[in-house]
Parts: sequence; structure tokens; C-alpha cells
Amino acid sequence: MSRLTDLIFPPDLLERAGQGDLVAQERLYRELSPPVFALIRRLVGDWATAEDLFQDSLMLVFRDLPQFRGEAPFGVWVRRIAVSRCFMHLRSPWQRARRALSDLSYADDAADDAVFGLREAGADSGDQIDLSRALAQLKPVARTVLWLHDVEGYTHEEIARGYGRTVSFSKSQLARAHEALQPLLAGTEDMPCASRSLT
Amino acid sequence: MRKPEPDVNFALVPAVRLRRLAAADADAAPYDFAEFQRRSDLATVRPGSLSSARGAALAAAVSGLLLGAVLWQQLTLAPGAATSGDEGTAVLAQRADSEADDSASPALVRAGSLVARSELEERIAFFDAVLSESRVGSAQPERLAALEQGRSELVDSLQRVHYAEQLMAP
Repeated sequence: MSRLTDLIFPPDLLERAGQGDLVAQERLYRELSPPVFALIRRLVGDWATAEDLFQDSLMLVFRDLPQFRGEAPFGVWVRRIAVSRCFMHLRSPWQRARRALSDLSYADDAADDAVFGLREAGADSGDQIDLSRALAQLKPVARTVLWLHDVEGYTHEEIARGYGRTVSFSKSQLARAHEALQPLLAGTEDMPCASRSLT
Repeated sequence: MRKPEPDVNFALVPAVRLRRLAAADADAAPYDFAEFQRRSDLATVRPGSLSSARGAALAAAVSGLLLGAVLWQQLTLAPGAATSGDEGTAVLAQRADSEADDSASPALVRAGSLVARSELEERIAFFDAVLSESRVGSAQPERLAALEQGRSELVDSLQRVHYAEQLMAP
């Protein structure tokens, strides 16, 4: 899972932030923003869209904070809001049409963004850069399903519900993503066939 | 008898590599808290600023306006509609000139639909978040049904706005 779900905050900090205390909100923002943005960027690909969804998500988090009852870990609650915003974006017919039109130039731009982001962060692993570049070459839906399932631990049922599609849709997208990743990563590390058992 | 484990180096399995990548993802926010606040203040349509009913009403009004504009456009452009052939051509030419000179009306219509769409998407996202939360918790079935009904109405309204936008598209 992403680092977001590992974050732990003192209840009084959440309470003060929910009451509008700007110092508490700023501290919360500092902790939350990197993992939230990283997650959204992985799900939607391009930087500009990720910024918009990041802004929306954190506005919703601060708005709904007084309703947070602490029944689930705070990071899980925040992640649910962010993923929900991404689903909204990804299943919008308007955005689907826009992505289809820009599909040709998208992969290269997204790959450059992904690699640039990693280099900025000081990633020294060639494998991470190769993997990031390979991910960016995937179709947006396949990449999102892959990330949600393999990294965030979402079930096919949850992914299908988010997209408003069937479980078969989620399973087939994941299979396609694994299939597409295999040749892209063939030159970096050998991918074992047994990896399919994870799906 | 336990089946033998396959001879697999799990460090190479895609999911494991992806999780390593997630752990190494860039540790930077896109902007600081001051900028976040500035953007929040600038957001013209804030989440929760309207009730779902008001959002749906706004969408219905905008889609009605758009459909009305389309009908008016078709009536005006219909050959021979209320005019003879030459007059129809003159009307077309006049409309082309006026549209070239004045793009304010279409821009306003598009801005209106954009606001309605944003508002509806916000409201649907909010319903999604509440529904997810309610499903995880122990919400009453009636409450879940009411939330799903509300979300479904918003999705219908959003589809109407999309439909109207498609009709208005050049």
C-alpha cells in the first residue's frame, strides 16, 4: 500500500484541524500532501490533472474532517476520498473523450513526467525509473487498475464499483496491464510467469 | 502433503516491484499550504456549497437553456423556416457574421454548463465518499438506499448536461 495508509496523527491534531485551526491544518497538509499527490499522480498520470484532483481531494478532506469518526485509520479515510475523486475523473465521459484524443502524445509526456519526478526525488535505482517509464506506457485505465489492485490492495469488486463497471472489466484490465508490462520490462529484470498467480 | 513452492524470486514479481516504487515515490507536495489556501479561496464552486437538490436544479436549468438554444438554432437555420430561400441564406450569412463578431453567448453557455458539471461531479464525489464510508461502517440499509438514490439522480442530471453539451458542440 501507499505510505498514506501508514500515517498516524494524534486525535487532538485532527480535532483542531477540523475546528479550523490553521496551524493544525498546515501541519496536516505538510504530512498528507506528498503521499496524496503521489497516489493521485500514479492514478491519473499527468501532472496538471493530478494537481487539480489533489486540490479537490484535500479541500474535501478539510471540509469533511469534522465528520471523521476515527473508525478507520485517518490515512485510509483520506485515501478513499482521493481515490474517489480520481474515479470521478476517470469515468467522466468528457475526460474519456479528451484522453482518447490526446492518447498519441500522452504516453511520452507521462513517461517523461514520471521519470523527471523520480529523478527530482533522487531515485538512484534504474529499476524504478524503468518501471515508472513502463507504467506510463500503459493505457490509463489499465495503469490505474494495476496500481489500485497490486499496490493499494483494492479488490476487483471495489475497483469495479469505482468505475461503475463489472468485476470482469477490472480483471481483464489487470490481466492486460500485466501482459503489457511484461515486454516493457523484459530488458530490465526477468519477469517470472508465476507473477500471474497474484491476479 | 504440502505442495512445493514454485521456484520464483518474489523480488521480481510485478506487484512487489510496484510496491517498492510506491515506497520510493517523490516526497514532495505540488505546492505549499499558503498556495493551497489561495487556490481554495479561488475555487468558484466549492464542494458542499450547494445542496444536491440545488445542484440538480442548476443542472436542469442549464440543460434546459442549452436545449432551448439548440432548438432555437435549428429553427433559425432550417431552410425556408419562416423565410423564403434568399431570406434564409441572408439569415445564415448574418448569423455567421454575428457569431464571428460576438462569441460571448456560446462562451457563457459553455461556462454555465461547466459550472453545472463541476458542481454535479463534486456532489457525486461527495456521495461516493459517504457511500464508501457507510458501506464500511454499519449504516442502515434505508440510509444506503437513500444515498444511492440521491447519487443516481445526480448522475442522471450529469448525463443530461453532457447530452446538451454534445448537442451544442460544433
